Amino acid sequence: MILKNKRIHRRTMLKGAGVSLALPFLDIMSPLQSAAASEAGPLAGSKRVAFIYTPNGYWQPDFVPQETGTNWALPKSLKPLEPVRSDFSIVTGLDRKFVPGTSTHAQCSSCWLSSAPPGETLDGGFPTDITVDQILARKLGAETMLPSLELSCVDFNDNKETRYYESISWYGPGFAANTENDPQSVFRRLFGKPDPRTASVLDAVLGEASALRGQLGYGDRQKLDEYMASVRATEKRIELSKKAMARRSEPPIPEPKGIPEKRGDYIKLMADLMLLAFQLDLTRVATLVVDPERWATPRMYHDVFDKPLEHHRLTHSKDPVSKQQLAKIDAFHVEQFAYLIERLKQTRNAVGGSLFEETTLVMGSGISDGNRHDFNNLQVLMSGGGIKRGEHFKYEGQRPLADLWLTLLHAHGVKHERFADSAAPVSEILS
Amino acid sequence: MILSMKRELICIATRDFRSVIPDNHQVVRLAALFLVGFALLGPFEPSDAVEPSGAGLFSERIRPLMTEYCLDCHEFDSSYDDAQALTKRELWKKAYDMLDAEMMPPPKQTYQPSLAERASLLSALEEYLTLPDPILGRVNPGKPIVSRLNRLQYNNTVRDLFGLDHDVFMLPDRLPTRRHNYYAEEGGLPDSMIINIREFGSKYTVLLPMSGLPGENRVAHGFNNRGDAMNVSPLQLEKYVSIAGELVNHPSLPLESPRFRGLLGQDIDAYCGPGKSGRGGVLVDSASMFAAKDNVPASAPGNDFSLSAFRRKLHFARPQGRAALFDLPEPFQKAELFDSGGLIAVKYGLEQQKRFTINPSLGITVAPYAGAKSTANGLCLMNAHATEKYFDLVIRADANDPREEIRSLGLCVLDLKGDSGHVTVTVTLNDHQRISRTANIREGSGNTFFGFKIPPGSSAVNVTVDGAAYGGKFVALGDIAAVTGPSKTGAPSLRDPWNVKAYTQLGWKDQSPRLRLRHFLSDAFRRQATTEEVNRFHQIYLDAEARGESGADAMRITIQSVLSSPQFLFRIETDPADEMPVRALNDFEVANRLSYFLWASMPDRALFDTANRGRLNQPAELEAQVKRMMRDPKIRELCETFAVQWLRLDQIYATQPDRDVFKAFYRDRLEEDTLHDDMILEAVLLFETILVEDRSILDLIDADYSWLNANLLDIYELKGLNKGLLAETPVQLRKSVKVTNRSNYNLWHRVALPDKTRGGVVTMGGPLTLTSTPLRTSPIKRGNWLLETIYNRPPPEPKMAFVLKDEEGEQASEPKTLRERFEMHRRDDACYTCHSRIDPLGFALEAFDPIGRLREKDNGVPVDASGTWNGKDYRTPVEFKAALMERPEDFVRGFIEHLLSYALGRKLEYYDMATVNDIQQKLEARGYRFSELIFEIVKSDPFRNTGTH
Repeated sequence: MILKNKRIHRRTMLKGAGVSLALPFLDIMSPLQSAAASEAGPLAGSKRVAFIYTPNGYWQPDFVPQETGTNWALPKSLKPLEPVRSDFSIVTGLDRKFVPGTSTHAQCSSCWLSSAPPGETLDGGFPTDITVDQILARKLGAETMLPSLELSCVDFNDNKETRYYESISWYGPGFAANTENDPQSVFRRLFGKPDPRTASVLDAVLGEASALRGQLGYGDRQKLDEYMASVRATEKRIELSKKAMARRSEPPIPEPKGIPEKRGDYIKLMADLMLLAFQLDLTRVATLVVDPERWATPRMYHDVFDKPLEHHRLTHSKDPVSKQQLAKIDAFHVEQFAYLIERLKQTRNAVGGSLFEETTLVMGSGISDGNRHDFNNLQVLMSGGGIKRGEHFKYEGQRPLADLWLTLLHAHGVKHERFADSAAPVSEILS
Repeated sequence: MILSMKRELICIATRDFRSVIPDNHQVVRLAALFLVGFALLGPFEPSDAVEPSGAGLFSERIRPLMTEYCLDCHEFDSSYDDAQALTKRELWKKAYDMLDAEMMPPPKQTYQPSLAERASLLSALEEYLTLPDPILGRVNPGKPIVSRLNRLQYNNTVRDLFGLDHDVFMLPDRLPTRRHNYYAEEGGLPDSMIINIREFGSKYTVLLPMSGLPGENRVAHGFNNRGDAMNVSPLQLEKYVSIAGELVNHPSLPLESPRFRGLLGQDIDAYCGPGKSGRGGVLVDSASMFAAKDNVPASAPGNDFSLSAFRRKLHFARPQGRAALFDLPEPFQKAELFDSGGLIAVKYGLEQQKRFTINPSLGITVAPYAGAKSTANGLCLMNAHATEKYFDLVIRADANDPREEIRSLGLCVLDLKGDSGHVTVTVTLNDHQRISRTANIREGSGNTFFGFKIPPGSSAVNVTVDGAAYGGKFVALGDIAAVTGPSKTGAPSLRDPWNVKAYTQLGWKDQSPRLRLRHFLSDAFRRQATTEEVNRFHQIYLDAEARGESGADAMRITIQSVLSSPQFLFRIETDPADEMPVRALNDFEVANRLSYFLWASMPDRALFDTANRGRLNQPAELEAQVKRMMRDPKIRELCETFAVQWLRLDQIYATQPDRDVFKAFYRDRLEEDTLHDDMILEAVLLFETILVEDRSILDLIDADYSWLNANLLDIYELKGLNKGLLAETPVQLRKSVKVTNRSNYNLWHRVALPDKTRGGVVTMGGPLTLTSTPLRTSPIKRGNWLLETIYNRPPPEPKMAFVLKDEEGEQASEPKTLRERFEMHRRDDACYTCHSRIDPLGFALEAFDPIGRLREKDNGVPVDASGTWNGKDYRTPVEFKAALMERPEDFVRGFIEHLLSYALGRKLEYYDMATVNDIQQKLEARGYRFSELIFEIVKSDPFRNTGTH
């Protein structure tokens, strides 16, 4: 006997009684349901985290402070941080294990936030794994419109490098989070009105995906699982953006028109958008790739140099002029970080508190000395709430970078015993 | 390279670059501890599925030699028997590659196998690697395709699905050439061509100029169509959903796509005529007389008929309802039209039921006849932007019935005051044939009539007006008219992949929404849609209607869902009914593989029909389809995508030679006009020539001709040829040569080269430039490029930064050439293994400067471009290329591997060696002809079969 089946909307089912879905769920993108408030870590006040990535390491002599502790002189490249001297710390001397077999630069960016140990090369030789921002997003992003926001200022049009060079945020092995590099698209994603029809489209395609999934072999399902997880994340975003829309009548700033011409303006605009998303609680975790690794394409640093330069090439050039230029690029990137700190300090959160105190800011690069591709003695700038500020924490010997990430996880209440090759948290950096 | 990995681990472990070649075995044993997961120490599960063949191959011919020469550094369990070792063949493939490239044992090591031993080991390994899979009982064809459409494939698929004549959105990977002619269907390229180039990154006609999708990065050593490398993330999914929404709601789509109109159940009048605002079209009555005011004294040379004969044709056709005459009446609001995708519909026919439509491309405006004598009452059409004297008009005999054909076409090009020059009008037919006519319109010679008779069985679908060689800033069209008639075969006269049956039986409009959807779904999913799928999508339509949407809007939402669905966005090969470990692909799957390989798009109607008849599993039919597809202009994707990515030409725009040192690269004072385009085109044209003329693929590295324009003749010091070439150029072409700005650089010649310094991609300006830095050459980049591109044997990534000694400031008493400095670096044992391969290739090209010019000195010191390759010494580029050609089979193998990997959309594995060897043997026997390579790839086992697990 064949029963004529009336199609039941999945959404209708959801409304029903909190039924658990028979559909497969890809856990890497679904926020932990009980998150946020329940089991807060020491950084209870700080609910937002941003990671800013700059490529190709730093010119060491002008970047690493000589002294440690609280009394240290700002090296040349850190001078732009002078106005916020007491609002940040620098952590130096942490290491990551390089995994032979793939390009050095590809691992700088793709493994910076995962510190994936050499044994875990699940992605065809690449040790990519879920990154610390995505773990935090599962914890902190349960109630926000976007679990996390992935931004980049990579506007190269040539197809020069693989995605490893420009992806710092990974949902899991081999599964990179796409980044958004167009301020206008970011704006629309954050503040745009959801098209009411989109919901029915998403509903329809999710049905198609689950019908299709049943026909696939186990090994072939992964691509479709990514698709389905993406549909669900989008559905959730739309639901939450409707709520956010209801709370506000106008977008907070006018819509940007494409990519600003000047490099500094571009980075600052992306930082502003990130800040707005934090302030309006549209997301609590963000990554910003200022530039990709290697990518041998000259780029213009407006108001710094009058002609385009190639950052990566400079790291391998030995003449003093190149070293000066390298230091200037570092300082230029540090200046953007200083801007972000200052803006955060000026910004109030929804209840009038300081957004700065609620945010952890991290900036770094996947190598220290760009010329030698040194994965040891990395530099990380830290700022925001819950961080001991104004200090230089220097680690000697082999101390994994993963320790720092583990510390951040613990601070936000993610009770992992280990993260990648971590040994122990570096709790002394917390206030 | 897993085998080489261990050595790198040693470097890391000891942190000493110099101890890479270990001098005592203890270090090796110690380092082996790091190798858990790499070395072959794991437990072995015997398989008794198939009696292991190749008995004795491993134990007698491979193991003894490998134990002798490899075991010192590379751990493997030397007690493996033949069957055990058979399951570890991915490792033996790596050993094979290292041995074959003579990178292992390390060249500096004194203990080397004899030539005979090396040859014996290689042949034994080759035999071993091509043995059937012990579990499958046959050679493994690889996994099924589960791959998202990449950006280019998405664009092309949507374009063909709706029958658009242009891209959906702007693709940064499109070459900035403005060509209609790919000569694919003619089987040969002429000796001279005009190729106009738009500025890189400038706008061109697309449906959604402000939208797009994120592009895919290429895969290391591969192409950007690799399924395993393409993710879907929430951001990407949102883009798919929103771009599908923009598409279905775009006001121009119904104007441009009869198929879309049909899906919505609407005819053209719903979008034209009075009261239609925005980007709708105009609906006008057919004029009564062609060029009523006369004033058309001139006739284009080669016209099929005179103006008066055309008028007679129209006169006789009118009572039969077959004459469509367009003349824009005054007054007319030009804002109504022509932003992009505006449309003019002319009412004609016995009951005024037919709609002759003209769709102008971006940048056309309506203007009064100022500066010209008017041919009729109304207004004329001309380019909206000064100097953009090039535009397309898409024409349809009857927008409501695709079976109506255009039989004759006439139009007038106006004689504008103060201007003279040549105007070319090209009519494109639905079978891609073109008819072109050029008239010299001198000031005062009067308006010129162009008349085209369309060959029986074809219809005109496009008119291109090219006024590049016309003097002024504008080119203008007066009347346009057509004599039409029904198709004799009853088949639609359009090339869109529509369902013929649906058309001929009912016509879209009168079909039920469910039936319309059924046909559309099968096309969108590129196979027969299942009844369940049709039901589900029909339900989406019904739900939307139930929510109060109009029929058209409900259909829009449904189509948006289709375009966002996994069946559309992914290419999926799945056959749940089949339990066999390997199965033959079904006809639709083969059709998809074919079309995405050759066209980077969906199958067309003919391919669908062949698949539907179950004929694609016959090699003869497969070959016939491939032949047909290679004659279709869409084959350009193979040039523009495969060839461009293979040669890394997509990176050339990012290469910026220093403006002060390399002035020759920047042609004009403003430095806006560079050699980037010229260099890309030279390589693409060579590839295209080989493909279209079915030449030997050896031409790719060893041709005695090249495509050059004045710029490249200059760079190659062949300027002397220019005059002779110009003299041989057909007069017609010479007149289209652009004289402003880029003087005659749009004229390209197939030049017979005086010697073999040039010819083939290795010594072309493009590759030589894109492998250089702004101020100097990079022999390493060039060597790497050659190893990867020409041989498909890229060296492993360097594991440590190098330091060029004299740059460290140690001492630089006398200037050293780059070569001398690199040779110091190469003395380092750790570097030598790879650089013994990279450097001879890279330094051979030191004879060329960073923009590809021949040079004798570098840094004031004579360059040394000598070396040895394939056992032959060389001192000059000519000798170097001769040394490359000592072993053409190495290039052929690399090229087969590149193209096979692109065709399969996956990385090649050890088990593909059997296929590659097989194709290579067949090619050798057939003169390496390009078509043979394509045929062999599509007939190959992995192309037509798939593993199921």
